[in-house]
Amino acid sequence: MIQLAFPSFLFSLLLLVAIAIYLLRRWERWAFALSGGFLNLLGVWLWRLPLDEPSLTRVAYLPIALRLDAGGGGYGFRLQLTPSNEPVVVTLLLLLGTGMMLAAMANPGFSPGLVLLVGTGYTGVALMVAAPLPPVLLAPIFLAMLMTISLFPAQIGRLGNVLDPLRAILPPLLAVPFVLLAAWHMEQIPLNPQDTSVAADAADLLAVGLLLLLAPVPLHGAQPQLCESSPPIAAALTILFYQTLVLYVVYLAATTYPLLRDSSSINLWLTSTGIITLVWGGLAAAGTGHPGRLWGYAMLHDWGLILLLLSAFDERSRPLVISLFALRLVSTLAAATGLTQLRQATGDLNLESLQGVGTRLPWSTIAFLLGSLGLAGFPLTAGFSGHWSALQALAEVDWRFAAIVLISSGSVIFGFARMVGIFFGGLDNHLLPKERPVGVVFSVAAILLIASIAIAPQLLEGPIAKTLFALD
Amino acid sequence: MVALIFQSGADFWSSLPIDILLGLAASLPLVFWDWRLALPSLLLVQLGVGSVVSAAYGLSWPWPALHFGVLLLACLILLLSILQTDDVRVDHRGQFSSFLFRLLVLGMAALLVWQAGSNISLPLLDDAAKRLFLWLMILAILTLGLTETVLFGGIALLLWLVAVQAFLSVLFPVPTLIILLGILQLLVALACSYLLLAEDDALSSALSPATDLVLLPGAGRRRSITAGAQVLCYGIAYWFSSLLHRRQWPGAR
Repeated sequence: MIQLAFPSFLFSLLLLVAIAIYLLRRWERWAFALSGGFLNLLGVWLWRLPLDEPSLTRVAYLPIALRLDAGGGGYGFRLQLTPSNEPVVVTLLLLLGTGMMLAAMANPGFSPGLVLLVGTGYTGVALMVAAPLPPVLLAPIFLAMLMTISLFPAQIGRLGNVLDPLRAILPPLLAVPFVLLAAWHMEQIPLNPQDTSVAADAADLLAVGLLLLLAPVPLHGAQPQLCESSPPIAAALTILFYQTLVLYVVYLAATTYPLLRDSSSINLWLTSTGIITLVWGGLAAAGTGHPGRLWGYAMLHDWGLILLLLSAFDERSRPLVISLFALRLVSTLAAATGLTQLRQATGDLNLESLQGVGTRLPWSTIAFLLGSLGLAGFPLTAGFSGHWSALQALAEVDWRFAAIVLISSGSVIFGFARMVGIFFGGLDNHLLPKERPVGVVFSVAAILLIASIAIAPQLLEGPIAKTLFALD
Repeated sequence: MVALIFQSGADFWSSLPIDILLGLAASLPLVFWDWRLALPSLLLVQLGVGSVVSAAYGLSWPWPALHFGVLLLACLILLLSILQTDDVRVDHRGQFSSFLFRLLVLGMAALLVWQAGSNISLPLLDDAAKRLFLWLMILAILTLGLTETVLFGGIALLLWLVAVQAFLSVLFPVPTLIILLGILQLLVALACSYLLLAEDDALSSALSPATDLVLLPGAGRRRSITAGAQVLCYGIAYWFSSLLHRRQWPGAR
């Protein structure tokens, strides 16, 4: 019986998946589907494991005993599964698995092997519990590295304007000196506890660093651009991996360093940048004529709302942020499912080639529209329940916040209403192929998922409650 | 020898004229907007900044030498892509406004750094080093804001990392941090180098299995550079020849 610490076990499995994908590359779709399914199962299995039992856990059918509470690492780094990072690791594994399965649906336009590498990197950062400097404060360097590697799947095989993907590296790269300067100030606090200015400086620098990491407007540029020009699945995974880890880092920082909330103006900065981000997302969505970019602005609008709620850092806002983010994951991946099909059928996403596409590819079009509208909180979509709860909470604080959110959501919906007119108008390109069966299967699955969450949002209650408990 | 470069004359390296010289060298990419000047000036700035942190702030010499080696490698990585794309793109693409206007912007930025420098606190640094690092960061941000090409975007990011790495090496002389920042620098150079090739719209796309890492379809048809020494020799010769002929050749970058 081999005894393995959880990080070693996880990375060995991910390595095996990478090798299997390479060996089965002649049957790439089956390889992606199987590895995606395996990663999803791994995520679900991990989610159901009781972490509070330190005893050895037998892995079924394998001569392996797993020590969940054991860590591993070297050079001063230690990786370990803890109750607080477990939901993040599970989310990353599920994202990775879903992304691989979606890559099996159509020619993904990127190398899933690279996405696997990026996902493994994010998982490693989430598992990091000790480092030569506090892990939270080293996170921006790792985020910058991973974002840099993410450029390859986002740009792979695609020529043209490439400056915009480069902008995706900027937020973590700009945040690095601020966060590490904050780390130096924090080291000075015990040496001179009477000097309150050191703590205030540390809090302000950390707040600026975290704000840069969260990439509100005007640091948002890469997001809509990636959605416009990169393969939809690669764009969705690049953005969601990064945002999942950034939210975790922000929560960890707020928990580890209470001075962040007490001595800095992060609440004010997050409130103002959150409002600007959601308003800009709404305005830009109303004016854009590219479905990928429109999807990107809808995501930006939704991200602005999350930042606005995050600013409170209290017990009431935390479930709202987590539920909004969970719904964001569902809506974004559903929209990516539909958009990938549309992109593959039309060759590009220009409005001329999309005229009447809904009559030939109805399921993909509906999956894209329902997923994207969920990001604006449209009724009967997955995002509605989260947006509705957020609106109520904001209205209780100040009705003007709720009004701003409502108006900018309306603006996003207006942008999609124009798109519906184009998608279901008269068909221009009569040579457009009909929907492929595999595409129908994935699109219908996405629509069913959206519909079930829209009808019964309580389905997410369990996971959200467990995540909340883990982060406390 | 290397130790001598990085550790001799703390007074010399922390003197105002040297800081001004390094500041001027760092502004060359933005002023002339030419990669043949930008890459050597980047190396010169790294050499100077490394000597400042080693001589004046006691960072042991292998680390600044490592910083320099990493940046040299990063510049070579960029050069490799530049060599492969010499037949594309117009020279002044991405150049913001005129030479004089950029000088005016730089002048205003210099004034800002000079004035605001005394109000910004960067721990452990003396006034001259603080202004130098701020100047490098401002230059990086200005270049990023003004460029429309990946090449100068990459040069700006590398300049930003030169300043950040030097400053953080003074704050935390921890090997792990220095190595992590070095890896980040190389990754940024690799990404920019790859994007520089992808910026070339002359390439045609070809279908390939998505599992195979064919980063750029069609790249095999380009000029093949097989050996590291060939890259170095050919690169230096190409740089020198195109620097001499830059006025006569309208297609120069």
